[in-house]
Amino acid sequence: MRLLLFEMKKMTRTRLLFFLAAGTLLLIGAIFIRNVLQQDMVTAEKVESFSNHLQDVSSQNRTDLMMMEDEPSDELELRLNKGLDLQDKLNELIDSISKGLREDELQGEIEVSRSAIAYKDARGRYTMSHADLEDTIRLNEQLLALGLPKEDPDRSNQPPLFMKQMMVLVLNPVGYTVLFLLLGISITREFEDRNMRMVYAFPVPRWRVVLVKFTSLLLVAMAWLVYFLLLSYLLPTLVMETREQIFDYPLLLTSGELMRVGSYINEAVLYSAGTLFFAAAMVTLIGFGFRQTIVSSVIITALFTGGWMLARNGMDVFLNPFTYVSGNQVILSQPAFYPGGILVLLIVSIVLLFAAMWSNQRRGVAK
Amino acid sequence: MIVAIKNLSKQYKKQQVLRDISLSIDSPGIWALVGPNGVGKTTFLNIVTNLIPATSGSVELVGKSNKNYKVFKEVSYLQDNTVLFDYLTGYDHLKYVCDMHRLPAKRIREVASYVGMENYLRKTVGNYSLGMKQHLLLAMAIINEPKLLLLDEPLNGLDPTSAIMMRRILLELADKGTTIILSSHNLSEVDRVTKQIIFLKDGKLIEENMDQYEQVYYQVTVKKKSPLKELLTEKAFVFDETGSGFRILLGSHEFQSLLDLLQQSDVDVLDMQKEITGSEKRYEEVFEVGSL
Repeated sequence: MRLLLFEMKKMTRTRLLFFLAAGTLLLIGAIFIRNVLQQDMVTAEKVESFSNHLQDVSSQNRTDLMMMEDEPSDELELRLNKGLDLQDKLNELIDSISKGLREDELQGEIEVSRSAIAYKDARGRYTMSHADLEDTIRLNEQLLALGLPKEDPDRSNQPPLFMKQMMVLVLNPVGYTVLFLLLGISITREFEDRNMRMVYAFPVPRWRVVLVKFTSLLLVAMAWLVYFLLLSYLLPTLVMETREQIFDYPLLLTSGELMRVGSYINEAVLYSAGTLFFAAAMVTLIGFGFRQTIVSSVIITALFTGGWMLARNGMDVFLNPFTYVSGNQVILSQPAFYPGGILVLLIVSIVLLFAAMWSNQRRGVAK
Repeated sequence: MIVAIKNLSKQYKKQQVLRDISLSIDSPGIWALVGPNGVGKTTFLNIVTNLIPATSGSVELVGKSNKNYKVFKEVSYLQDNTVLFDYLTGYDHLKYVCDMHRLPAKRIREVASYVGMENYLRKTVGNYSLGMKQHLLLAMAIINEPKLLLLDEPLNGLDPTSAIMMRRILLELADKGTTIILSSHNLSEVDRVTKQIIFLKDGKLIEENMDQYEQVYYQVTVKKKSPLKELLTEKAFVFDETGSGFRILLGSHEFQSLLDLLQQSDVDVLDMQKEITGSEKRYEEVFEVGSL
């Protein structure tokens, strides 16, 4: 415990925590301000998107009308009718969006989607797929049932959606790599600066030195995670008006099923905690193994990015710990891996930690 | 047995650093590990303390294998000042050592006062001078009152005041029953604290007592050299001329003769310093230092 307190004291004196905290605050603050400033753009972009659909459908309807005059057919007539219906629905939807009638907007989008499906079935061209249109219907029906408006998941200032946005942005392979490159220096620098020779000349077993380093890395990483989550939650909560039942806001999984954003955050927090455990153990093993900042940094970066790329390209299997480094991806595409994946991360971490303690037990510290 | 080294060897690839070394020390006192730079003094101490694993052989310190971490309860190793954390204070370091040895915090004040570092205890080590760092290292090494104290170049780079203080502390610790092994290449400093010297040459230890090699010199600074030089030559003193006087070799029975000579010559003596050497001559023989 005393050794751990000394480690924590060293961490605080190196100003690492200060820079980490300040950097996190700046990032979250900047994204929040960007979201606030872009709220008007969200509406404008929606109008633009549906206007583009309207333009396509209108153009096709005109073509179909001319063709009907030249060479009428049942098929053409059906498509024209569906197309005209879709055109009307799109006009109504654009009107609802422009007027800020949120409930009408949701209902209108459902009707547009249904109409678009019918239009596509009649061989009409519409740039959204069947699956996407059905997802939209399911999502909007759920939102209507909850009495919630539709949010842009990348620009919302509602607490759980902003938290999700920040988690996707930061708790990913790049974020973990940066975090653990910073934290890992606390191990390698002590070998390079020769401080570790002093530590090894005290009545403390060497495995405990490794364990204490790991624990200090983990504690700092966990403290940072709590700070990051609190900031992501508190900033929108204190500044913006929070809607009721916003934690029930539905998210679409890759399978097309819906998930509460509150459940998403719970899973993402647990995956993140598990990944921090895994990353701390990995960095401890690499730091005590290679004992050089540059070499260790290159290996940590290569492992995180390489492992994540493998996971993205078909190796996202249950037992691969790198599958869980991108929490967003695994939650949305592999819901069955929860909560077993967290156990995988913990078991792999313990194995790595034991390997670090064992390999360091008989090794010297000086040259 | 305080130190029991048996058949210790260390090889780095093709380079044999230590060759089948054995050494036994079973009483308190000061031993100086002497050798030129790069001969492997620090490596030897690092191997003895198991900071570097030996290739073969065994080391026991205060009755325990050096591979047992508990050995450091009774053994302290003062390393060079790069082991200190520049961003922590002297107090932080001493508190850490106290915690490692489960000693009460009041020991920090006691030991800081003993080595004379109370005034800068709360300053960060990055702002310490070389001497201040040596004081801190010494305080860290003696805070647990070890039976065996290993010191790597403790007198290196110290100003005269710090060097005098360090010497006094080492002699006092040895008197109180601590066994001290210090490495140094500064022979005049070594001669002031011990006559028990261990030369490290070509990976082997040569342990000798310097009593037989001891020589006493007097550095005499005079206003004018000329009358004294002739008298010294006439009375067959062995001496060297220095910038402002003479370095005169004495046997113990000749001191009164020198005083008489100085009185007779009627020269103005500005200063007179005693200098004891012993290891230097032996060092020259052991390491085959040729004349310029």
